[in-house]
Amino acid sequence: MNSANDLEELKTRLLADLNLAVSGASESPRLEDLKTKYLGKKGEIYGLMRGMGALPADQRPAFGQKVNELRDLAEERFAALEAKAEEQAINAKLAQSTLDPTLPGIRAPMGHLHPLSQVREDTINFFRGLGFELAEAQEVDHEWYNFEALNIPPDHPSRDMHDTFYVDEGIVLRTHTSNTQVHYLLDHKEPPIRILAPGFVYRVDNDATHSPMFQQVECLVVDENISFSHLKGTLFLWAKHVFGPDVNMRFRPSYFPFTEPSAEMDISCIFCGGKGCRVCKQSGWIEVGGCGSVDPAVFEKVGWDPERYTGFAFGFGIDRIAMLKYGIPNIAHLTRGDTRFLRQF
Amino acid sequence: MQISLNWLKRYVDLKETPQNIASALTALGFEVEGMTFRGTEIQGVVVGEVRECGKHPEADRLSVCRVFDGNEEVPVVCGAPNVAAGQKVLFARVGAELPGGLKIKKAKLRGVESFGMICAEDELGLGESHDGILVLDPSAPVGISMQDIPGLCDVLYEINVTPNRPDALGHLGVARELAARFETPLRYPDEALREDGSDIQGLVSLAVEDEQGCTRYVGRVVEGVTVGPSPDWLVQSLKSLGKKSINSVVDLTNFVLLEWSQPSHAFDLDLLAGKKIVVRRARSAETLKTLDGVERKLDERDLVIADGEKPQVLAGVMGGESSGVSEKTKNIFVEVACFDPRTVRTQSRRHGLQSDSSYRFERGVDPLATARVCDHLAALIAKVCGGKVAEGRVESISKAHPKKPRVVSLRPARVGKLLGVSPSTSEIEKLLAGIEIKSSGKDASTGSARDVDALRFEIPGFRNDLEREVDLIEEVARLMDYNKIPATLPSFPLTAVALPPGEKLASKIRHSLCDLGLSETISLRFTSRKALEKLILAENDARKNFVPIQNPLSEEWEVLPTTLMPALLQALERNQNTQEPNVRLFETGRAFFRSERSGERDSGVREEPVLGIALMGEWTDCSWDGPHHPVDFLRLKGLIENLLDGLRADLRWEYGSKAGFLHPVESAELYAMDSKEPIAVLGTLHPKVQVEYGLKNPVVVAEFHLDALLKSPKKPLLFEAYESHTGTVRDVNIVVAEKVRHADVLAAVPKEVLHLREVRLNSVYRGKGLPENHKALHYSFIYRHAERTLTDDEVNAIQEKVKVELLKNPNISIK
Ligand SMILES: [Zn+2]
Repeated sequence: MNSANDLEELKTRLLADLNLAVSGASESPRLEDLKTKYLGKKGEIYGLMRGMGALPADQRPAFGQKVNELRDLAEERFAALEAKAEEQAINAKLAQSTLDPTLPGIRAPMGHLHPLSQVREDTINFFRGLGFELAEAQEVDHEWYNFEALNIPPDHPSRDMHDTFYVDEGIVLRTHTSNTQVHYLLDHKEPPIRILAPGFVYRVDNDATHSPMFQQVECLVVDENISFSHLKGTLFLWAKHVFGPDVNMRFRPSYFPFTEPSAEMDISCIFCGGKGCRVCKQSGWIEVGGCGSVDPAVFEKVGWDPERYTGFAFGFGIDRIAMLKYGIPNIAHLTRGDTRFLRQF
Repeated sequence: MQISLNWLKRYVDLKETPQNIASALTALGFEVEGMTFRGTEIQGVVVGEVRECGKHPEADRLSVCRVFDGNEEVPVVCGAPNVAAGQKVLFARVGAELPGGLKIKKAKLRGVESFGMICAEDELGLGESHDGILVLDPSAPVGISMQDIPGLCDVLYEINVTPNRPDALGHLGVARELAARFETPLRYPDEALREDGSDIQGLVSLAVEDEQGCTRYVGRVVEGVTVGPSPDWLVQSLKSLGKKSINSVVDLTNFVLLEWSQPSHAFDLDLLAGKKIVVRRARSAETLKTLDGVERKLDERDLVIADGEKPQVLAGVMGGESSGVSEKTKNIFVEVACFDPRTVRTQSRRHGLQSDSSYRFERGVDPLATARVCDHLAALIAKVCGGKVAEGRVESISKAHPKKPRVVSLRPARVGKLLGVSPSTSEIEKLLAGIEIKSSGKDASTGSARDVDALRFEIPGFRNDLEREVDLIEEVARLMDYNKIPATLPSFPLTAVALPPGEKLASKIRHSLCDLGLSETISLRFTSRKALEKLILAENDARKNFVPIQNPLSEEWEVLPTTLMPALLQALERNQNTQEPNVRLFETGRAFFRSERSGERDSGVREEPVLGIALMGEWTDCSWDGPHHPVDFLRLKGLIENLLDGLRADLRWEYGSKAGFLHPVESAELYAMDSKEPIAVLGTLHPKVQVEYGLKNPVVVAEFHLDALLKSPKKPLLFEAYESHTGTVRDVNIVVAEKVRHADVLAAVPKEVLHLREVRLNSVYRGKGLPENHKALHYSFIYRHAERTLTDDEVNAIQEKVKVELLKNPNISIK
């Protein structure tokens, strides 16, 4: 024993056993048994090492090196075979899964933000980015704030544009968010003023495009040297934000007692691109909101000097923007609470 | 307001296409909301002459005609009863296409060939009549196309006239705007007046007793008229705007109204008692039967035109039956006046009677044109009905009534400041001159530096809305075209903009609840007494303190809501009815409560932001993989706990709510640590309310007052070391009677147990191995030392002490 021949014989036998082990034959040895047999603490390779003492001292280093080489070879071969076996076992297990991955996903409950809130938040974020502050006023207000202070006297035909709900003598459900302008200008006297006032407003009206309650956003800018041109610039910026960079805009003269000059802003029809369709009544234009320079009479009512300060205001319907943006045909969808509607958004 | 293109062309030459005219009107501030083409677009319809007309051999109702169309004579089968030889008719040649898409082809009708069609008015879109074919004036030249027949074809514009522009409620006013836009002259229509009758002073007397209500009154008399059917041009003019012809005099007053935007009234002079006209307030118990046949009770507030005995006209609104002009009328008194807009508006409202007259008086008529229009109308009557215009007018003018054009100053520099674009002085003058606003040079009235460059402009009476400098600046902008003003951005100092806390809270809640699987709804902020009653609220519940609407749209929407519950429950019911049984809704809305009015301009209404939540049916309906759990109180509670954790709200729970719409046991209220009023109530919907609202599936609801939630204390958000030591867990099975609650067990755990960090409920077991009406609560007691790992012995010792303490409670046993 313990000759070079023994070592060669052991190597040959090891390789043969390993081949047999991976051959898959029925009486083939198990890999772990072979490992114990050859590489275990009482295994044959260590046996060779232990028997090395019997060799002449001068042969020992060379023989020891050879045994070490054999051990390294054995370890390498076993590691490779084990890794392979492990992979085969995992693959076999994976193949056993009977799950049908085409079944619908099991979802966590999901809620939906109302389209009006989406438009409202988008509007608020846009104007906040321009430095506008959010302002609020009550929905039930004295008509002085809703009408008189905005240069709409009692028994004036311009009140026909505001079919008003009353809750008491002189107490109205606000017909527009413009009452916020009045409250804000009375409470704040430090220009510059840049406010944004989203909120619900009320009109005695109920059809496919009119709801007795709807949401408006009002913007007011006051400073020295604010011009009508600035109004156009600001509104155009907003319209491009909402309707995309290709949208066209036009201003046409209109009348609001609290702005002068007053205007309506139209955008090119987003459905037909301005060629004319059913939505825009063939005109190619869609009205989005009213605006104008602050009428000096309003400044006077709230105690600001109209010679020194100028400003602009505009308002648009959040409902209307949402209807345009998402193609909602009837305003009543917005307040029905129908989940078939809500879950679309 | 409907405007006829033919009519406009009386006063201004318009060569532009109908579309360009529409664009111009819109750019001038008269938004064109619709256009109707009356025959202008039709090709192939010409004046034809019916040369022969005979019976169809096979059909009694049909005629066979020979029609000459200017080129050839062709056989035509016609079904109209009024067709006759010799007529000039509108003939659609083969190949013509009529409105509605009818294409004229060669046809065989009951065996007779027909090459074209003789048209009725409606077939050409000229009107509604289908009584028979349209028969033209015999002088119409055969072969000319229908568009070349004067006054036949037209384009109608439906324009939106804002309340500040009563001048544009007449064709002359609209024509003036177009004349300015297209830089072409305006022709005034004044009819030449010949006063060849007797002196008016002997014919009628005028007394204006109320000069505040009637600031200007002008009357004329036309003697010896013949009232009858109107001439074609007049009938056609009115008809194009949908006005029926009544008689020649009434038609002329309507014509002048639609021309000058100035209402007028014609009386049968011989029916006026005492030949007197008295403008006064009505006396109580007086009545007037207006032209619409309604007998109206008058009182001292009503301004009327009376004769020597009784009211004949409700001033500015509508005339009476008894003195109206008829075919029998021989002598006419015509009135043109300026009534106080507010007076007309209030009496029109009071009597529920709006007329073309009241609409214009409310908005204001030209105060300087009264006599001119009266002369024009009298001359037209004399021209159309014969008769002689009496010499002179009866008239009245109040002190307050304007007698000459108003003068308004304009500083050119102010134009630039306000518009952001600076037209030159001469440009400004030219623009304004286009609508007859004349410059009268520099303003010398004040010497102040401010006004040194001011221009003075004379404002014509028809633009009585222009009172201030800014009004003129708007005119400059309008006439320049708004679209020529550049778009620029203002510049401002940088500023940090935070959301108001209430908005921030509401927004956070909306997003949290969406993330938790609820969908946001928005309800109309109206409800009904009945819907509130269905909530079976307690007598002293603040939700009963609602604000009614004085003029509600319907009974369902008669009050402002004090709670979102009715709206949410109704939304659940609508969903249930559309086969959507599983619904999770929330709304951040507003509640309105009646309160004391604290000042003259206080609304007397307190408004509060509220959050409502309503869940119905199964909670896990989003999954096809069961089991599906119906919504219940604990699931709602968990949802609210999630929400509050996200908001870091530190609230106190009290179980069992006094809110009438909640189950008395399966409910809770949330309080800030020191508050007396609950910030929120939540729970299973009371079964009675469930029935009242027709809801079949389980429903749980919650309502929060957001102002109170905003003010409530928040748990601080600070880092806590977590990685050093794992806890040691000891499980305990506690058996209690059903009536003993989890909170009771927790209360039995001694306070301040050393190292005890958490008592966690793992499960509740009922059934085998337990006494009847008992349950086993399985808890984990979790111990942790701040600095080191506890030993088993240490934990066992503490846990034993806890068990001993627990068992001192007679309701508790440990399994
Ligand atoms: Zn379109």
